[in-house]
Amino acid sequence: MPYAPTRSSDITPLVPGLLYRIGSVVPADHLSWLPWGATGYEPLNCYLYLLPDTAVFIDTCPAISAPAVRQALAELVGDRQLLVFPTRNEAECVGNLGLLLARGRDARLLFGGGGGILEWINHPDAPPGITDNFLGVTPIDPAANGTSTEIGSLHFDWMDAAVKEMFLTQWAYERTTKTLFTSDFFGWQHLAAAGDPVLHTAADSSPDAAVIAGEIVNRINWLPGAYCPDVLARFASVMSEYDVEIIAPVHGAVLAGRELVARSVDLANAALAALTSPVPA
Amino acid sequence: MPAAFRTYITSGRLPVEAAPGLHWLGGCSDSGTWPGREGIRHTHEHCSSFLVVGSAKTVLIDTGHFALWYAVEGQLEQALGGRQVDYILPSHQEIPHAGNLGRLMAKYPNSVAIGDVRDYHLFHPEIDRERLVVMRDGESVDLGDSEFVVLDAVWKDLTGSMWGYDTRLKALFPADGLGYVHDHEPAVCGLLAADLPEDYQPYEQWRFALPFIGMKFQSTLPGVRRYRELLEKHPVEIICSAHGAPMTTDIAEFTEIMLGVIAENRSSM
Repeated sequence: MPYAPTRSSDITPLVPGLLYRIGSVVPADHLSWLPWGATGYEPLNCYLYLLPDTAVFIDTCPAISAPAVRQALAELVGDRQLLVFPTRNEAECVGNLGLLLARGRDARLLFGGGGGILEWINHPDAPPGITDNFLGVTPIDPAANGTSTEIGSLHFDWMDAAVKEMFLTQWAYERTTKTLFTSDFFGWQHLAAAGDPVLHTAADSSPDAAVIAGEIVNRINWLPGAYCPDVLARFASVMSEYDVEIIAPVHGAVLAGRELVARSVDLANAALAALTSPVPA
Repeated sequence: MPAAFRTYITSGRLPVEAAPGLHWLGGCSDSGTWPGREGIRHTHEHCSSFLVVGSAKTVLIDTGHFALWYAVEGQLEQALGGRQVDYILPSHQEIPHAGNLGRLMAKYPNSVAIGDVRDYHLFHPEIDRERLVVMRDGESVDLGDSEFVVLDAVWKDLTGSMWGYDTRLKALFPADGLGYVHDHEPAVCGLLAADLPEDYQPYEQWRFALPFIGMKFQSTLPGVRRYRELLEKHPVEIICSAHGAPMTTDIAEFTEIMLGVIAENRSSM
């Protein structure tokens, strides 16, 4: 049987009228970033900013979340110009990039990663075996690490992911909403039931550092025993440099509120310290 | 109109039958055409996949980069010679390795994907879950005149990375690892490592060993030990990296050079 998510189309306001979490919820089994045999449910996320004339997607969800992305286009985006920023060229993040770019009206890509990204995707209506990509069609605006982009009232800072598994992963920070988009990091709060909220705000909702460490290594497999003080220092620096009220990962619950964010950062620092080695091997 | 330089190109040399029943498919990524890199010196990086044709069944190791489908589809048909794809081992979930899984499973409706097949139901919800078959380290499928064994990767890219081994060919498929001439000049695309000009000097020639994020922060000696243990259990005479030209000769010498580079760990990311 073809597979369907448990909750196929979710739109959750994070900053009403401005920032939304778009996505779906799936069972937590058979996900590579979770342990074998995991139970519960997992939110799959992308994010949408709405300005009067412009809509900005941060990531696009895997293909299974297409109904949610289509719903957001229909109900929220309307005829706004569309900009899309993927944090990684992986199917969790670009699974609906073709769907968005095919929408037409002045769609543009914000891109600071690597690879010929416009060839990695197809027009959503193309038959499976037909190549119908966006090479020569979609303009690309640079979003290189260490640079910023103003879009209307929004201000995005683009940066190399502080902790990453995949080469060229980027994070993004948006100043007006104080939101940090963390791709595949900080995704360690899950749902016990399919209908549970995907937005977590309670400071005591966080698992402890040992559990977080176990979660991190399921994705960032090089960390155990690594001697990487520069990585730990940069993570701590990024998390202190930016005034963050919302942490927005591509999977796992969205973490919001200063208390939960601060506790999540402290626990992440502790988990990273516990995973790594203070001395060279 | 935005610039339209194709990044994913292929050599007319492919497919190449690197050994009887072992076919090299795919193409290259031209990093000089990546957005933001226009104008830099062009080097190519292999994006390889491999077909093993057994007496009864076939297995495709990696699906080819999504962007190379225009080439891989025909190469595969040619290599199959009228046979069907029976098994597909995507070494891990990245698009250069697994991006054509949906297309392949649509074209070859009796094929099944094997290995660490987590996540693919999210990327290809149209695929029946029954066709995504989890296989663990050491488990195998019967190709008729050989067994194709799925192995836990010694060096991983994504957590779900798996390697493969064919018992007839004594061929190892180490996913992202061990990709000799990972970066190369366009003139040598599609050449087996053994057929490279004698004076050829590949770029970053030691990068082949360690293209994995984070390895520079680790001792690589445990991995070297695990690789030697793997060789004792699964003797290797051919190495087919997803980011390299197949190595079909001088494997013992190459292996010692490679393990020496890995043990030194001076060039990793």
